[in-house]
Amino acid sequence: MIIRIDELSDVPIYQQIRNQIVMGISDGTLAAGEQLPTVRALALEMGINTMTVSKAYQQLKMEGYIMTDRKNGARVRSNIEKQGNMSEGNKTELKRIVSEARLSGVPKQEIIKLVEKFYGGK
Amino acid sequence: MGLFFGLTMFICIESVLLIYLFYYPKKWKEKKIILGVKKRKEFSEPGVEEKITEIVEKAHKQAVYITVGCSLIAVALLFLKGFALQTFIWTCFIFAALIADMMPYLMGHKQLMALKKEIGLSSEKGVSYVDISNAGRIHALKPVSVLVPNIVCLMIVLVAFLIDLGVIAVPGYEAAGLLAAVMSLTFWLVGILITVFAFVMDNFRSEVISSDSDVNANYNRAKKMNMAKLYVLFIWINTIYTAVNEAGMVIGFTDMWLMISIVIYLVLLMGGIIVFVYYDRKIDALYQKETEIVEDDDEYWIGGMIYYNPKDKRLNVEKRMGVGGTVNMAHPVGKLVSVALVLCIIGTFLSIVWIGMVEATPIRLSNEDGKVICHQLRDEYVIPVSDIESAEYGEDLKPLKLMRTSGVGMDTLLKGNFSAEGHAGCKVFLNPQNKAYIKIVTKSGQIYYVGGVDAAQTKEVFNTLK
Repeated sequence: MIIRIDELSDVPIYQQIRNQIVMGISDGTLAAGEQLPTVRALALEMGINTMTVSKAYQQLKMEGYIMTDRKNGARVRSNIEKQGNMSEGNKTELKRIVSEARLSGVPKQEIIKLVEKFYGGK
Repeated sequence: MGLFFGLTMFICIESVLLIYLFYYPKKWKEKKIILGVKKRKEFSEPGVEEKITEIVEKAHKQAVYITVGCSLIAVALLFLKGFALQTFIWTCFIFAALIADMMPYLMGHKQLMALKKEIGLSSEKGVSYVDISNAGRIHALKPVSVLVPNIVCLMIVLVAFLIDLGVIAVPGYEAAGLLAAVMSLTFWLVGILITVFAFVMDNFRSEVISSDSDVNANYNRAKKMNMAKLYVLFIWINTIYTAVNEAGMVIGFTDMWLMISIVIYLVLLMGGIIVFVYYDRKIDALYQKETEIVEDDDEYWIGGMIYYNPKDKRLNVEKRMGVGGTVNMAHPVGKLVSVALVLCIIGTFLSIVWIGMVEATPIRLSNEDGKVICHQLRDEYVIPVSDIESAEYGEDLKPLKLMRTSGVGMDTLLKGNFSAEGHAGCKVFLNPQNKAYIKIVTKSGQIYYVGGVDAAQTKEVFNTLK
Protein backbone atom coordinates (compact mmCIF):
# COMPACT_ATOMS: atom_id res chain seq x y z
CA MET A 1 0.00 0.00 0.00
CA ILE A 2 1.36 3.40 -1.00
CA ILE A 3 1.09 6.38 1.32
CA ARG A 4 1.46 9.85 -0.14
CA ILE A 5 2.69 12.48 2.27
CA ASP A 6 2.43 16.18 1.49
CA GLU A 7 4.50 18.21 3.89
CA LEU A 8 3.04 21.48 2.63
CA SER A 9 -0.58 20.39 3.14
CA ASP A 10 -2.79 21.98 5.81
CA VAL A 11 -3.50 18.49 7.13
CA PRO A 12 -0.89 17.47 9.72
CA ILE A 13 1.40 14.64 8.62
CA TYR A 14 0.28 12.28 11.39
CA GLN A 15 -3.33 12.85 10.24
CA GLN A 16 -2.36 12.11 6.62
CA ILE A 17 -0.78 8.83 7.71
CA ARG A 18 -3.80 7.95 9.83
CA ASN A 19 -6.29 8.80 7.08
CA GLN A 20 -4.50 6.78 4.41
CA ILE A 21 -4.12 3.73 6.65
CA VAL A 22 -7.86 3.90 7.43
CA MET A 23 -8.60 4.10 3.70
CA GLY A 24 -6.25 1.16 3.09
CA ILE A 25 -8.04 -0.95 5.71
CA SER A 26 -11.44 0.06 4.32
CA ASP A 27 -10.69 -0.83 0.69
CA GLY A 28 -8.87 -4.04 1.65
CA THR A 29 -5.39 -2.95 0.60
CA LEU A 30 -4.38 -3.58 4.19
CA ALA A 31 -5.72 -6.95 5.24
CA ALA A 32 -6.90 -7.85 8.73
CA GLY A 33 -3.93 -8.96 10.83
CA GLU A 34 -1.43 -7.42 8.41
CA GLN A 35 1.78 -6.26 10.00
CA LEU A 36 2.47 -2.52 9.80
CA PRO A 37 6.05 -1.23 9.69
CA THR A 38 7.67 -0.23 12.95
CA VAL A 39 7.49 3.43 13.96
CA ARG A 40 11.23 3.80 13.35
CA ALA A 41 11.18 2.13 9.93
CA LEU A 42 8.25 4.22 8.72
CA ALA A 43 9.79 7.44 10.04
CA LEU A 44 13.08 6.59 8.32
CA GLU A 45 11.37 5.86 5.01
CA MET A 46 9.37 9.10 5.16
CA GLY A 47 12.21 11.23 6.49
CA ILE A 48 10.03 12.45 9.35
CA ASN A 49 10.23 12.41 13.12
CA THR A 50 9.41 9.12 14.88
CA MET A 51 7.05 11.06 17.17
CA THR A 52 4.86 11.91 14.17
CA VAL A 53 4.46 8.27 13.17
CA SER A 54 3.99 7.30 16.79
CA LYS A 55 1.16 9.84 17.10
CA ALA A 56 -0.56 8.42 14.00
CA TYR A 57 -0.29 4.87 15.36
CA GLN A 58 -1.56 5.97 18.77
CA GLN A 59 -4.61 7.52 17.16
CA LEU A 60 -5.27 4.45 15.02
CA LYS A 61 -4.98 2.27 18.11
CA MET A 62 -7.31 4.50 20.09
CA GLU A 63 -9.88 4.40 17.31
CA GLY A 64 -9.65 0.61 17.24
CA TYR A 65 -8.19 0.17 13.75
CA ILE A 66 -4.88 -1.33 14.80
CA MET A 67 -3.46 -3.12 17.78
CA THR A 68 0.06 -2.85 19.06
CA ASP A 69 2.17 -4.93 21.34
CA ARG A 70 5.86 -4.94 22.16
CA LYS A 71 6.52 -8.34 20.62
CA ASN A 72 4.67 -8.09 17.30
CA GLY A 73 4.62 -4.32 16.68
CA ALA A 74 1.54 -2.84 15.02
CA ARG A 75 -1.05 -4.95 13.20
CA VAL A 76 -4.41 -4.25 11.56
CA ARG A 77 -7.19 -5.40 13.87
CA SER A 78 -9.16 -8.37 12.57
CA ASN A 79 -12.29 -7.44 14.54
CA ILE A 80 -12.79 -3.73 14.02
CA GLU A 81 -15.76 -2.59 16.06
CA LYS A 82 -18.68 -1.72 13.79
CA GLN A 83 -20.68 1.04 15.49
CA GLY A 84 -23.05 1.38 12.57
CA ASN A 85 -23.16 5.17 12.64
CA MET A 86 -21.01 8.08 11.48
CA SER A 87 -19.34 10.43 13.91
CA GLU A 88 -20.54 14.03 13.98
CA GLY A 89 -17.17 15.18 12.73
CA ASN A 90 -17.35 12.89 9.68
CA LYS A 91 -20.92 13.97 8.96
CA THR A 92 -19.80 17.60 8.94
CA GLU A 93 -16.88 16.70 6.68
CA LEU A 94 -19.15 14.79 4.29
CA LYS A 95 -21.56 17.72 4.24
CA ARG A 96 -18.74 20.06 3.36
CA ILE A 97 -17.56 17.79 0.51
CA VAL A 98 -21.09 17.37 -0.90
CA SER A 99 -21.72 21.13 -0.62
CA GLU A 100 -18.53 21.96 -2.45
CA ALA A 101 -19.35 19.40 -5.15
CA ARG A 102 -22.87 20.82 -5.59
CA LEU A 103 -21.52 24.34 -5.85
CA SER A 104 -19.01 23.13 -8.44
CA GLY A 105 -21.87 21.66 -10.48
CA VAL A 106 -21.08 17.99 -9.87
CA PRO A 107 -24.29 15.97 -10.53
CA LYS A 108 -25.84 14.13 -7.58
CA GLN A 109 -25.53 10.82 -9.42
CA GLU A 110 -21.83 11.36 -9.80
CA ILE A 111 -21.45 11.82 -6.04
CA ILE A 112 -23.54 8.73 -5.34
CA LYS A 113 -21.47 6.76 -7.86
CA LEU A 114 -18.28 7.79 -6.09
CA VAL A 115 -19.72 6.90 -2.68
CA GLU A 116 -20.70 3.48 -4.05
CA LYS A 117 -17.25 3.01 -5.48
CA PHE A 118 -15.49 3.95 -2.25
CA TYR A 119 -17.93 2.06 -0.07
CA GLY A 120 -17.69 -1.05 -2.23
CA GLY A 121 -14.01 -1.42 -1.54
CA LYS A 122 -11.65 -2.86 -4.20
CA MET B 1 58.43 5.99 -6.26
CA GLY B 2 57.44 8.88 -8.54
CA LEU B 3 56.02 6.59 -11.20
CA PHE B 4 54.15 4.62 -8.55
CA PHE B 5 52.58 7.80 -7.14
CA GLY B 6 51.64 8.93 -10.65
CA LEU B 7 50.18 5.51 -11.46
CA THR B 8 48.05 5.54 -8.30
CA MET B 9 46.70 9.01 -9.14
CA PHE B 10 46.17 7.94 -12.77
CA ILE B 11 44.06 4.91 -11.78
CA CYS B 12 41.97 6.98 -9.38
CA ILE B 13 41.18 9.82 -11.77
CA GLU B 14 40.66 7.56 -14.81
CA SER B 15 38.19 5.40 -12.87
CA VAL B 16 36.24 8.42 -11.67
CA LEU B 17 36.13 9.87 -15.19
CA LEU B 18 34.92 6.54 -16.60
CA ILE B 19 32.27 6.20 -13.86
CA TYR B 20 31.07 9.75 -14.51
CA LEU B 21 30.58 8.90 -18.19
CA PHE B 22 27.76 6.57 -17.12
CA TYR B 23 25.89 9.65 -15.91
CA TYR B 24 25.96 11.24 -19.36
CA PRO B 25 23.44 8.92 -21.00
CA LYS B 26 22.93 8.82 -24.73
CA LYS B 27 19.73 6.79 -24.51
CA TRP B 28 18.04 9.01 -21.95
CA LYS B 29 14.62 7.39 -22.40
CA GLU B 30 15.89 4.28 -20.59
CA LYS B 31 17.13 6.25 -17.61
CA LYS B 32 15.34 7.24 -14.43
CA ILE B 33 17.44 10.33 -13.82
CA ILE B 34 18.75 12.46 -16.66
CA LEU B 35 21.56 14.85 -15.75
CA GLY B 36 20.27 15.06 -12.19
CA VAL B 37 16.64 15.58 -13.26
CA LYS B 38 13.95 12.96 -12.62
CA LYS B 39 12.45 11.74 -15.87
CA ARG B 40 8.78 12.64 -16.22
CA LYS B 41 6.29 11.17 -18.68
CA GLU B 42 5.82 14.65 -20.15
CA PHE B 43 9.40 14.43 -21.46
CA SER B 44 8.16 12.13 -24.23
CA GLU B 45 5.76 14.72 -25.65
CA PRO B 46 6.50 15.96 -29.17
CA GLY B 47 8.73 19.01 -29.19
CA VAL B 48 10.00 18.32 -25.67
CA GLU B 49 11.61 15.00 -26.58
CA GLU B 50 13.74 16.57 -29.31
CA LYS B 51 14.93 19.35 -27.02
CA ILE B 52 15.93 16.86 -24.32
CA THR B 53 17.75 14.70 -26.86
CA GLU B 54 19.66 17.76 -28.02
CA ILE B 55 20.66 18.75 -24.43
CA VAL B 56 21.64 15.19 -23.50
CA GLU B 57 23.65 14.55 -26.66
CA LYS B 58 25.50 17.83 -26.29
CA ALA B 59 26.41 17.05 -22.66
CA HIS B 60 27.48 13.52 -23.61
CA LYS B 61 29.69 14.79 -26.42
CA GLN B 62 31.32 17.40 -24.18
CA ALA B 63 31.88 14.83 -21.43
CA VAL B 64 33.58 12.44 -23.87
CA TYR B 65 35.88 15.23 -25.12
CA ILE B 66 36.74 16.24 -21.53
CA THR B 67 37.39 12.61 -20.52
CA VAL B 68 39.69 12.02 -23.49
CA GLY B 69 41.48 15.34 -22.92
CA CYS B 70 41.96 14.68 -19.20
CA SER B 71 43.18 11.14 -19.92
CA LEU B 72 45.84 12.43 -22.29
CA ILE B 73 46.98 15.01 -19.74
CA ALA B 74 47.03 12.29 -17.05
CA VAL B 75 49.29 10.10 -19.24
CA ALA B 76 51.66 13.05 -19.73
CA LEU B 77 51.75 13.68 -15.97
CA LEU B 78 53.05 10.15 -15.37
CA PHE B 79 56.47 11.35 -16.52
CA LEU B 80 56.74 14.21 -14.01
CA LYS B 81 59.83 14.29 -11.82
CA GLY B 82 60.17 15.55 -8.24
CA PHE B 83 57.78 14.49 -5.49
CA ALA B 84 56.58 17.96 -4.43
CA LEU B 85 56.03 19.07 -8.03
CA GLN B 86 54.25 15.80 -8.80
CA THR B 87 51.99 16.11 -5.76
CA PHE B 88 51.17 19.73 -6.54
CA ILE B 89 50.44 19.20 -10.23
CA TRP B 90 48.49 15.97 -9.70
CA THR B 91 46.34 17.52 -6.94
CA CYS B 92 45.56 20.62 -9.02
CA PHE B 93 44.89 18.43 -12.05
CA ILE B 94 42.53 16.11 -10.16
CA PHE B 95 40.49 19.04 -8.83
CA ALA B 96 40.45 20.67 -12.28
CA ALA B 97 39.55 17.41 -14.06
CA LEU B 98 36.67 16.69 -11.67
CA ILE B 99 35.27 20.21 -12.03
CA ALA B 100 35.70 20.12 -15.82
CA ASP B 101 33.97 16.74 -16.04
CA MET B 102 31.02 18.02 -14.02
CA MET B 103 30.53 21.14 -16.11
CA PRO B 104 28.50 19.53 -18.95
CA TYR B 105 26.37 17.82 -16.28
CA LEU B 106 25.71 21.10 -14.47
CA MET B 107 24.98 22.98 -17.70
CA GLY B 108 22.73 20.19 -18.97
CA HIS B 109 20.94 20.08 -15.61
CA LYS B 110 20.32 23.82 -15.75
CA GLN B 111 18.93 23.56 -19.29
CA LEU B 112 16.64 20.65 -18.35
CA MET B 113 15.30 22.51 -15.31
CA ALA B 114 14.65 25.55 -17.51
CA LEU B 115 12.86 23.31 -20.01
CA LYS B 116 10.70 21.85 -17.24
CA LYS B 117 9.72 25.37 -16.24
CA GLU B 118 9.05 26.29 -19.87
CA ILE B 119 6.60 23.42 -20.34
CA GLY B 120 4.95 24.13 -16.99
CA LEU B 121 6.32 21.17 -15.07
CA SER B 122 7.14 21.73 -11.46
CA SER B 123 8.44 19.48 -8.73
CA GLU B 124 5.95 18.13 -6.24
CA LYS B 125 7.60 20.03 -3.44
CA GLY B 126 7.15 18.38 -0.07
CA VAL B 127 5.46 15.28 -1.51
CA SER B 128 6.88 11.86 -0.80
CA TYR B 129 5.62 8.32 -1.28
CA VAL B 130 6.11 5.38 1.02
CA ASP B 131 5.22 1.78 0.38
CA ILE B 132 3.89 0.71 3.75
CA SER B 133 4.17 -2.96 2.85
CA ASN B 134 7.91 -2.64 2.23
CA ALA B 135 8.95 0.06 4.69
CA GLY B 136 12.05 -1.11 6.54
CA ARG B 137 11.69 -4.63 5.16
CA ILE B 138 13.82 -4.61 2.03
CA HIS B 139 17.36 -5.68 2.79
CA ALA B 140 19.89 -7.53 0.69
CA LEU B 141 23.01 -7.51 2.82
CA LYS B 142 23.54 -10.76 4.69
CA PRO B 143 25.50 -10.02 7.89
CA VAL B 144 27.45 -13.28 7.50
CA SER B 145 28.73 -12.19 4.07
CA VAL B 146 30.51 -9.19 5.59
CA LEU B 147 31.33 -10.86 8.87
CA VAL B 148 33.38 -13.69 7.31
CA PRO B 149 35.93 -11.50 5.44
CA ASN B 150 36.22 -9.24 8.49
CA ILE B 151 36.93 -12.24 10.74
CA VAL B 152 39.49 -13.57 8.23
CA CYS B 153 41.11 -10.12 8.19
CA LEU B 154 41.14 -10.03 12.01
CA MET B 155 42.89 -13.42 12.03
CA ILE B 156 45.56 -11.98 9.71
CA VAL B 157 45.98 -9.04 12.10
CA LEU B 158 46.39 -11.41 15.05
CA VAL B 159 48.95 -13.50 13.16
CA ALA B 160 50.78 -10.28 12.25
CA PHE B 161 50.90 -9.26 15.92
CA LEU B 162 52.18 -12.68 16.95
CA ILE B 163 54.89 -12.61 14.26
CA ASP B 164 55.91 -9.07 15.16
CA LEU B 165 56.08 -9.97 18.83
CA GLY B 166 58.19 -12.99 17.98
CA VAL B 167 55.64 -15.53 19.31
CA ILE B 168 55.44 -17.10 15.83
CA ALA B 169 58.91 -17.45 14.35
CA VAL B 170 59.26 -16.98 10.61
CA PRO B 171 62.65 -18.04 9.16
CA GLY B 172 64.54 -15.07 7.79
CA TYR B 173 62.22 -12.51 9.37
CA GLU B 174 63.46 -10.38 12.22
CA ALA B 175 60.61 -9.01 14.31
CA ALA B 176 60.42 -5.34 13.40
CA GLY B 177 58.32 -4.02 16.25
CA LEU B 178 54.65 -3.76 15.40
CA LEU B 179 55.10 -2.33 11.92
CA ALA B 180 53.45 -5.11 9.91
CA ALA B 181 50.80 -5.62 12.57
CA VAL B 182 49.86 -1.92 12.67
CA MET B 183 49.55 -1.86 8.88
CA SER B 184 47.31 -4.96 8.93
CA LEU B 185 45.25 -3.43 11.73
CA THR B 186 44.79 -0.28 9.66
CA PHE B 187 43.46 -2.32 6.73
CA TRP B 188 41.16 -4.26 9.05
CA LEU B 189 39.74 -0.94 10.30
CA VAL B 190 39.20 0.08 6.68
CA GLY B 191 37.21 -3.15 6.28
CA ILE B 192 35.13 -2.28 9.35
CA LEU B 193 34.46 1.19 7.93
CA ILE B 194 33.31 -0.35 4.62
CA THR B 195 31.05 -2.69 6.63
CA VAL B 196 29.44 0.29 8.38
CA PHE B 197 28.82 1.96 5.00
CA ALA B 198 27.39 -1.32 3.68
CA PHE B 199 24.81 -1.44 6.48
CA VAL B 200 23.97 2.26 6.08
CA MET B 201 23.34 1.75 2.35
CA ASP B 202 21.32 -1.40 3.01
CA ASN B 203 19.05 0.58 5.32
CA PHE B 204 18.36 3.34 2.80
CA ARG B 205 14.70 4.04 2.18
CA SER B 206 13.00 1.96 -0.47
CA GLU B 207 11.99 3.92 -3.51
CA VAL B 208 8.39 3.87 -4.69
CA ILE B 209 8.08 3.47 -8.44
CA SER B 210 4.77 1.65 -8.71
CA SER B 211 1.43 1.25 -6.94
CA ASP B 212 2.20 -2.47 -6.91
CA SER B 213 4.13 -3.29 -3.73
CA ASP B 214 5.69 -6.39 -5.32
CA VAL B 215 7.23 -4.30 -8.09
CA ASN B 216 8.61 -1.86 -5.52
CA ALA B 217 9.97 -4.72 -3.43
CA ASN B 218 11.68 -6.41 -6.40
CA TYR B 219 13.12 -3.16 -7.72
CA ASN B 220 14.56 -2.09 -4.37
CA ARG B 221 15.81 -5.60 -3.60
CA ALA B 222 17.64 -5.72 -6.95
CA LYS B 223 19.24 -2.32 -6.32
CA LYS B 224 20.26 -3.19 -2.77
CA MET B 225 21.56 -6.60 -3.86
CA ASN B 226 23.84 -4.91 -6.39
CA MET B 227 25.04 -2.50 -3.71
CA ALA B 228 25.57 -5.31 -1.16
CA LYS B 229 27.65 -7.28 -3.70
CA LEU B 230 29.87 -4.25 -4.24
CA TYR B 231 30.53 -3.81 -0.53
CA VAL B 232 31.16 -7.52 0.05
CA LEU B 233 33.62 -7.43 -2.87
CA PHE B 234 35.32 -4.37 -1.33
CA ILE B 235 35.73 -6.11 2.02
CA TRP B 236 37.14 -9.28 0.40
CA ILE B 237 39.59 -7.27 -1.73
CA ASN B 238 40.63 -5.44 1.43
CA THR B 239 41.13 -8.72 3.29
CA ILE B 240 43.14 -10.29 0.46
CA TYR B 241 45.29 -7.19 0.20
CA THR B 242 45.92 -7.29 3.98
CA ALA B 243 47.13 -10.89 3.62
CA VAL B 244 49.35 -10.05 0.63
CA ASN B 245 50.78 -7.01 2.40
CA GLU B 246 51.49 -8.96 5.58
CA ALA B 247 53.07 -11.82 3.64
CA GLY B 248 55.11 -9.32 1.63
CA MET B 249 56.53 -7.71 4.76
CA VAL B 250 57.34 -11.00 6.43
CA ILE B 251 58.76 -12.80 3.39
CA GLY B 252 60.58 -9.65 2.40
CA PHE B 253 59.04 -8.70 -0.92
CA THR B 254 60.62 -5.74 -2.61
CA ASP B 255 59.08 -2.27 -2.43
CA MET B 256 58.23 -2.60 -6.10
CA TRP B 257 56.16 -5.71 -5.40
CA LEU B 258 54.25 -3.92 -2.64
CA MET B 259 53.66 -0.97 -4.94
CA ILE B 260 52.37 -3.25 -7.69
CA SER B 261 50.05 -4.92 -5.18
CA ILE B 262 48.62 -1.49 -4.20
CA VAL B 263 48.03 -0.68 -7.86
CA ILE B 264 46.23 -4.03 -8.34
CA TYR B 265 44.20 -3.33 -5.16
CA LEU B 266 43.10 0.04 -6.56
CA VAL B 267 42.34 -1.38 -10.02
CA LEU B 268 40.12 -4.08 -8.45
CA LEU B 269 38.27 -1.55 -6.27
CA MET B 270 37.66 0.79 -9.18
CA GLY B 271 36.72 -2.12 -11.45
CA GLY B 272 34.14 -3.17 -8.85
CA ILE B 273 32.62 0.31 -8.86
CA ILE B 274 32.42 0.40 -12.65
CA VAL B 275 30.62 -2.98 -12.75
CA PHE B 276 28.28 -1.79 -9.96
CA VAL B 277 27.35 1.40 -11.83
CA TYR B 278 26.73 -0.59 -15.03
CA TYR B 279 24.29 -2.96 -13.30
CA ASP B 280 22.65 -0.15 -11.30
CA ARG B 281 21.81 1.68 -14.53
CA LYS B 282 20.67 -1.60 -16.08
CA ILE B 283 18.22 -2.26 -13.22
CA ASP B 284 16.74 1.23 -13.67
CA ALA B 285 16.37 0.58 -17.40
CA LEU B 286 14.70 -2.80 -16.77
CA TYR B 287 12.09 -1.26 -14.48
CA GLN B 288 11.26 1.63 -16.82
CA LYS B 289 8.01 0.02 -17.99
CA GLU B 290 6.79 -0.58 -14.43
CA THR B 291 7.61 2.95 -13.29
CA GLU B 292 4.38 4.87 -12.82
CA ILE B 293 5.15 6.96 -9.73
CA VAL B 294 7.86 9.60 -10.04
CA GLU B 295 8.75 11.33 -6.82
CA ASP B 296 9.95 14.59 -8.31
CA ASP B 297 12.15 16.29 -5.72
CA ASP B 298 14.43 18.01 -8.24
CA GLU B 299 14.10 21.34 -6.47
CA TYR B 300 15.91 19.93 -3.45
CA TRP B 301 18.91 18.97 -5.61
CA ILE B 302 21.32 21.84 -6.22
CA GLY B 303 22.82 21.30 -9.66
CA GLY B 304 21.45 17.76 -9.56
CA MET B 305 24.28 16.82 -7.19
CA ILE B 306 23.90 18.40 -3.76
CA TYR B 307 20.86 17.47 -1.71
CA TYR B 308 19.46 20.29 0.42
CA ASN B 309 16.08 19.59 2.00
CA PRO B 310 15.44 21.20 5.41
CA LYS B 311 12.19 19.23 5.77
CA ASP B 312 13.87 15.86 5.37
CA LYS B 313 15.08 14.48 8.68
CA ARG B 314 17.30 11.91 6.98
CA LEU B 315 21.03 12.52 6.90
CA ASN B 316 21.82 10.20 3.99
CA VAL B 317 20.15 9.92 0.63
CA GLU B 318 21.14 8.06 -2.52
CA LYS B 319 23.41 10.01 -4.83
CA ARG B 320 22.18 11.18 -8.24
CA MET B 321 25.68 11.25 -9.73
CA GLY B 322 28.17 8.74 -8.41
CA VAL B 323 28.11 5.71 -6.18
CA GLY B 324 26.57 5.35 -2.73
CA GLY B 325 24.97 8.04 -0.67
CA THR B 326 25.32 11.74 -0.10
CA VAL B 327 24.46 13.82 2.94
CA ASN B 328 21.51 16.14 3.24
CA MET B 329 23.28 19.49 3.48
CA ALA B 330 20.31 20.99 5.33
CA HIS B 331 20.79 18.49 8.15
CA PRO B 332 22.95 19.84 11.05
CA VAL B 333 25.45 17.01 10.50
CA GLY B 334 25.38 17.74 6.76
CA LYS B 335 26.44 21.32 7.50
CA LEU B 336 29.33 20.03 9.59
CA VAL B 337 30.30 17.68 6.76
CA SER B 338 30.44 20.57 4.27
CA VAL B 339 32.65 22.59 6.65
CA ALA B 340 34.92 19.53 7.06
CA LEU B 341 35.05 19.15 3.27
CA VAL B 342 36.17 22.76 2.78
CA LEU B 343 38.78 22.33 5.53
CA CYS B 344 40.01 19.14 3.83
CA ILE B 345 40.48 20.97 0.52
CA ILE B 346 42.35 23.81 2.24
CA GLY B 347 44.36 21.23 4.20
CA THR B 348 45.31 19.41 0.99
CA PHE B 349 46.79 22.55 -0.53
CA LEU B 350 48.55 23.51 2.71
CA SER B 351 50.07 20.00 2.82
CA ILE B 352 51.37 20.46 -0.71
CA VAL B 353 53.04 23.74 0.29
CA TRP B 354 54.60 21.95 3.26
CA ILE B 355 55.79 19.05 1.05
CA GLY B 356 57.33 21.58 -1.34
CA MET B 357 59.18 23.28 1.53
CA VAL B 358 60.42 19.96 2.88
CA GLU B 359 61.65 18.82 -0.52
CA ALA B 360 63.31 22.12 -1.40
CA THR B 361 65.16 22.51 1.91
CA PRO B 362 68.43 20.52 2.06
CA ILE B 363 69.24 18.60 5.24
CA ARG B 364 72.19 19.63 7.40
CA LEU B 365 74.20 17.59 9.88
CA SER B 366 76.54 19.30 12.30
CA ASN B 367 78.31 18.87 15.59
CA GLU B 368 77.93 22.10 17.56
CA ASP B 369 78.56 22.73 21.26
CA GLY B 370 78.90 19.03 21.96
CA LYS B 371 75.65 18.13 20.25
CA VAL B 372 74.94 16.35 16.97
CA ILE B 373 72.24 18.43 15.30
CA CYS B 374 70.06 17.17 12.45
CA HIS B 375 68.49 20.25 10.92
CA GLN B 376 65.90 20.75 8.20
CA LEU B 377 63.41 23.62 8.57
CA ARG B 378 63.94 23.07 12.31
CA ASP B 379 66.19 20.99 14.60
CA GLU B 380 64.73 17.52 14.05
CA TYR B 381 67.09 15.62 16.32
CA VAL B 382 69.61 16.92 18.86
CA ILE B 383 71.89 14.19 20.28
CA PRO B 384 74.30 15.22 23.04
CA VAL B 385 77.72 13.73 22.27
CA SER B 386 78.02 12.71 25.93
CA ASP B 387 74.95 10.44 25.44
CA ILE B 388 76.48 8.56 22.51
CA GLU B 389 77.47 4.98 23.25
CA SER B 390 78.80 4.15 19.77
CA ALA B 391 79.00 5.64 16.28
CA GLU B 392 79.61 3.74 13.03
CA TYR B 393 80.17 5.10 9.57
CA GLY B 394 78.55 3.33 6.63
CA GLU B 395 78.44 3.90 2.89
CA ASP B 396 75.59 1.70 1.71
CA LEU B 397 71.97 2.16 2.82
CA LYS B 398 70.61 -0.94 1.08
CA PRO B 399 71.58 -3.56 3.71
CA LEU B 400 69.80 -1.47 6.36
CA LYS B 401 66.40 -2.44 4.84
CA LEU B 402 64.84 0.83 5.94
CA MET B 403 61.07 0.67 6.36
CA ARG B 404 59.09 3.75 7.33
CA THR B 405 56.71 3.57 10.30
CA SER B 406 55.96 7.28 10.42
CA GLY B 407 57.49 10.41 8.98
CA VAL B 408 58.69 11.41 5.52
CA GLY B 409 59.80 9.07 2.76
CA MET B 410 60.86 10.92 -0.38
CA ASP B 411 63.44 10.30 -3.10
CA THR B 412 65.65 12.92 -1.46
CA LEU B 413 64.60 12.66 2.18
CA LEU B 414 64.00 9.97 4.78
CA LYS B 415 62.96 11.43 8.10
CA GLY B 416 61.11 10.01 11.09
CA ASN B 417 60.61 6.61 12.69
CA PHE B 418 61.82 3.62 10.69
CA SER B 419 62.60 -0.01 11.19
CA ALA B 420 66.17 -0.81 10.18
CA GLU B 421 68.22 -3.98 10.29
CA GLY B 422 65.27 -5.67 12.01
CA HIS B 423 65.03 -3.06 14.77
CA ALA B 424 61.87 -0.99 15.11
CA GLY B 425 61.69 2.57 16.40
CA CYS B 426 64.93 3.81 14.82
CA LYS B 427 65.20 7.55 14.15
CA VAL B 428 66.27 8.30 10.61
CA PHE B 429 67.51 11.56 9.09
CA LEU B 430 69.00 10.89 5.67
CA ASN B 431 69.15 11.92 2.06
CA PRO B 432 68.99 8.53 0.29
CA GLN B 433 70.75 10.01 -2.75
CA ASN B 434 73.76 10.36 -0.49
CA LYS B 435 74.64 6.82 0.56
CA ALA B 436 76.88 7.78 3.49
CA TYR B 437 75.41 7.58 6.96
CA ILE B 438 76.32 7.44 10.63
CA LYS B 439 74.69 4.89 12.89
CA ILE B 440 74.52 6.35 16.40
CA VAL B 441 73.49 4.30 19.41
CA THR B 442 72.84 6.29 22.58
CA LYS B 443 73.37 5.07 26.12
CA SER B 444 69.61 4.68 26.48
CA GLY B 445 69.63 2.31 23.48
CA GLN B 446 68.02 4.65 20.93
CA ILE B 447 69.36 4.06 17.43
CA TYR B 448 69.82 6.92 14.92
CA TYR B 449 70.76 6.72 11.25
CA VAL B 450 71.78 10.21 10.24
CA GLY B 451 73.49 11.83 7.32
CA GLY B 452 74.34 15.23 5.94
CA VAL B 453 73.64 17.00 2.68
CA ASP B 454 76.51 15.06 1.09
CA ALA B 455 79.04 12.38 1.99
CA ALA B 456 81.67 15.01 2.89
CA GLN B 457 79.41 16.60 5.53
CA THR B 458 78.56 13.18 6.96
CA LYS B 459 82.22 12.16 7.09
CA GLU B 460 83.17 15.50 8.69
CA VAL B 461 80.67 15.03 11.53
CA PHE B 462 81.73 11.40 11.97
CA ASN B 463 85.39 12.52 12.32
CA THR B 464 84.40 14.86 15.15
CA LEU B 465 82.69 11.94 16.91
CA LYS B 466 85.74 9.67 16.63
